[in-house]
Amino acid sequence: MKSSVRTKLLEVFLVMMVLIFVLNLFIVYNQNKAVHQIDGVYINNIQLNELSTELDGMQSALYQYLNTKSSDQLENFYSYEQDYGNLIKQLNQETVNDSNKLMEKNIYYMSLTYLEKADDTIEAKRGRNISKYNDDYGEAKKLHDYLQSCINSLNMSVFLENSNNYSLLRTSLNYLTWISMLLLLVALAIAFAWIIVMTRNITKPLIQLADAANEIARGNMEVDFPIVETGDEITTVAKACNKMIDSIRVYIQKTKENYERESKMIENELIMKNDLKEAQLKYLQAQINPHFLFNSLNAGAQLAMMEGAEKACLFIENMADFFRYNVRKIDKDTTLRDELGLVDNYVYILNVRFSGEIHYSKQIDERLLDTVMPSMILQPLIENAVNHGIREMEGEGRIQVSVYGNDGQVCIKVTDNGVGIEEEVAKKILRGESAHSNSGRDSAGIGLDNVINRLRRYYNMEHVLDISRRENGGTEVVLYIQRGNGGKGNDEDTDLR
Amino acid sequence: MKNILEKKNRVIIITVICIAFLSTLIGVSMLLENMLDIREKTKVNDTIYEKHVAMISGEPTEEFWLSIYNSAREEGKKQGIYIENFGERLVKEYTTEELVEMAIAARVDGIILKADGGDDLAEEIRKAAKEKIPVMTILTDVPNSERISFVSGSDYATGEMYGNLIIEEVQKKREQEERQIRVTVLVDSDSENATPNLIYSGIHEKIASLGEKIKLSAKIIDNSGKFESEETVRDLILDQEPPDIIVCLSAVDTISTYQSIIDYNRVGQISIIGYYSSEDTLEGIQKGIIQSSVLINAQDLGETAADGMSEYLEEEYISEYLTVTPTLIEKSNVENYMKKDE
Repeated sequence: MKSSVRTKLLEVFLVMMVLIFVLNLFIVYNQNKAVHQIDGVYINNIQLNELSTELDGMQSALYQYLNTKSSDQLENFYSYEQDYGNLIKQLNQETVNDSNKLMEKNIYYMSLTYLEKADDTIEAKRGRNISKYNDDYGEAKKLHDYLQSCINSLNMSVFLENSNNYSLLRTSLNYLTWISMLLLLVALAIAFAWIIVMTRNITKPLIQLADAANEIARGNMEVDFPIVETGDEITTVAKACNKMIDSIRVYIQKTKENYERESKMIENELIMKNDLKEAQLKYLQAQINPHFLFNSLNAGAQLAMMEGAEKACLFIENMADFFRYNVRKIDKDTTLRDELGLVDNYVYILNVRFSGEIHYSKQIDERLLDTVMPSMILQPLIENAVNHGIREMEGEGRIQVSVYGNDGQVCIKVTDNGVGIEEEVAKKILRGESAHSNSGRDSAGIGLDNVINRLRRYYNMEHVLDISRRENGGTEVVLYIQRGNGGKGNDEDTDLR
Repeated sequence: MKNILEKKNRVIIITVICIAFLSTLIGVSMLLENMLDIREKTKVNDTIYEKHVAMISGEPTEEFWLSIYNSAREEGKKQGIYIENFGERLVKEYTTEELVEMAIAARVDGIILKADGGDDLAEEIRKAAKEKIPVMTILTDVPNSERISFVSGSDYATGEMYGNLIIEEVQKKREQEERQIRVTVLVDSDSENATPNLIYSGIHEKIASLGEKIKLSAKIIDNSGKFESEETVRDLILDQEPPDIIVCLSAVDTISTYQSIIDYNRVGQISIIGYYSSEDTLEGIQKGIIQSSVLINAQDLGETAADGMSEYLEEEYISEYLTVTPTLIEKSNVENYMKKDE
């Protein structure tokens, strides 16, 4: 039972058109009728006038003929007689209760008498019966006069009646005009009202739809499209729009959920990585128990001194210093001076171990020695230089540390004359990919990647270290340290026990 | 469901509007039709009559003539005859002879004629007879003609009635005054036919018994000139010896006399015995100024004429005289006539 907008509009227009068409038909029909009747009103008078004219013509022709015996006039007379005879046949010939019709009947029969008399007269004229045609003409003339009088009277009477009819017709025509106007107005009013109601019915849901659409466009997704059960396409559109809005809402909800899940995953991953690092750090630091080792070494040094073994005592003291540094400084910032001291200790220990194979030299800008920096930075560099450079080569190993200022930065350069680092390896280290390449059993414990990470976090900058292969053999590592204070807070976070 | 209902409603509304509209149109059409067809409706009554009879009078629109004509026409209709008041509708005035001539030329089936004393009427009647058109005279006769019959009030009976009225009145007068009572009868001079004379002689005969008690005289009123009636009556009244009783044999004379009696303050002195039931006459009777009025009933005349003509047309025979008994209007029955007039 669905009626579309088109059906509704068609309905209105068709019904109204048919209505107005019928109305027009009615008006035209009635007007035609009235005009026809008005046309017919005076037709009687016209006929009677014709009759009168013919009669006069006939009488005149008769007179002329009697006067001149002209055959033309006779012919004229007969032609008039013919016409007149035809005309009077239209008159009423019955006795009826209507004075005009009765008058017609009288005229008809009087005409017959007159025609007979006229024929008699002509006959007498032909027969040269002078007295008879004189008498007959006299009578014919009298009859002619009577006839004319009767026709005139009838004409007058009919005219009066017709005038009455005419005014009646005029009145009814007036009425017709007014009624037609009224009906047209009524039809117009009906059409107007109907069309207004129809268009309102059709456009109202559309306007509501548009309002809802505007509301949605402003971002309010909670609005539903109003559904008016008009049973046409608008309802269909509203329903479809509602479905669409529902799917959009579901989609937005899903996207939100996905986004939330993803960000949670990323967070988790970050936390996991942190945890891992922390664990790694703790692990690395837990590898040595420096207090125990330091105390033991101190005891060993005293023992060596008491026994008079000076070299052993020196060695053990160096060892003790090395570990004390670890114990004391690892969780605190230190100065470049202390770091270099630690390197001295370390190199001494190594030289004892490897029987003086390492030639260690320093080139220091004394002004920079008080620069604050994180601890345990230089030692891993030296360890690397020994383990990967010097130890794998034949002959005398050299390590040089130089400190110089450059452009607000303190540069610490460690060079060796070892086998030299492969460029790919150097890149990998800088990218942090060869994470544990340093963690051999022979290591002091802290890998190069750890050094790089800590420096990066400490100074909050990416470029902290350069590694390159020297042209005449060996590896060169340059550390860049800010001359001012670094991000101290970072180290405080690293709260080690 | 709601939708279906709405749709149903709409269809119903549309149908109702259409039907209302169409019925308005039809109603208006019928109204217009009605207005336009008034004339047609009056013509529906057109019954065709077998015979056509012309009733001819020199004065076709006179009141008395019209009442005769109307009753004749109604009676004729019952017999299948349509009686026409011939000449009524003609614009020009024609004499009775001319009208008869016309009727003959119009080949009517019969003529009822009120003769007006024209010389050629007898000739016209002859012509009609030649054309086999029967002519019947009414009220006034054309003696020595080929008319088939004459319809009138019975003159003798009328005379007798007048006579009786006069006797009655004379006796009343003589009760007051023991002297000879003067009675004047007003006779129309244009009535060349014998009728008034017959009435007069009827009166004469009737009152002969009174002998010397009364003096009967006739006054001829020359109605050929107009307004003669009133002048004559005035002269009579102002005479040295005015009549005690005036007897009028025509409607006009009755009214003139009645008016003069009032004008010259002779009420109670002069009694009037009138003729016909004209409005003034009836009023006079009611007031007691006119004692009584003799009436040849127009209706009876008309009916008798129509019946006579019908009979003749059917059987080609009718008695030569058809008479109508006169009636008397007095104070006691004047009311009936007044009602009739209304």
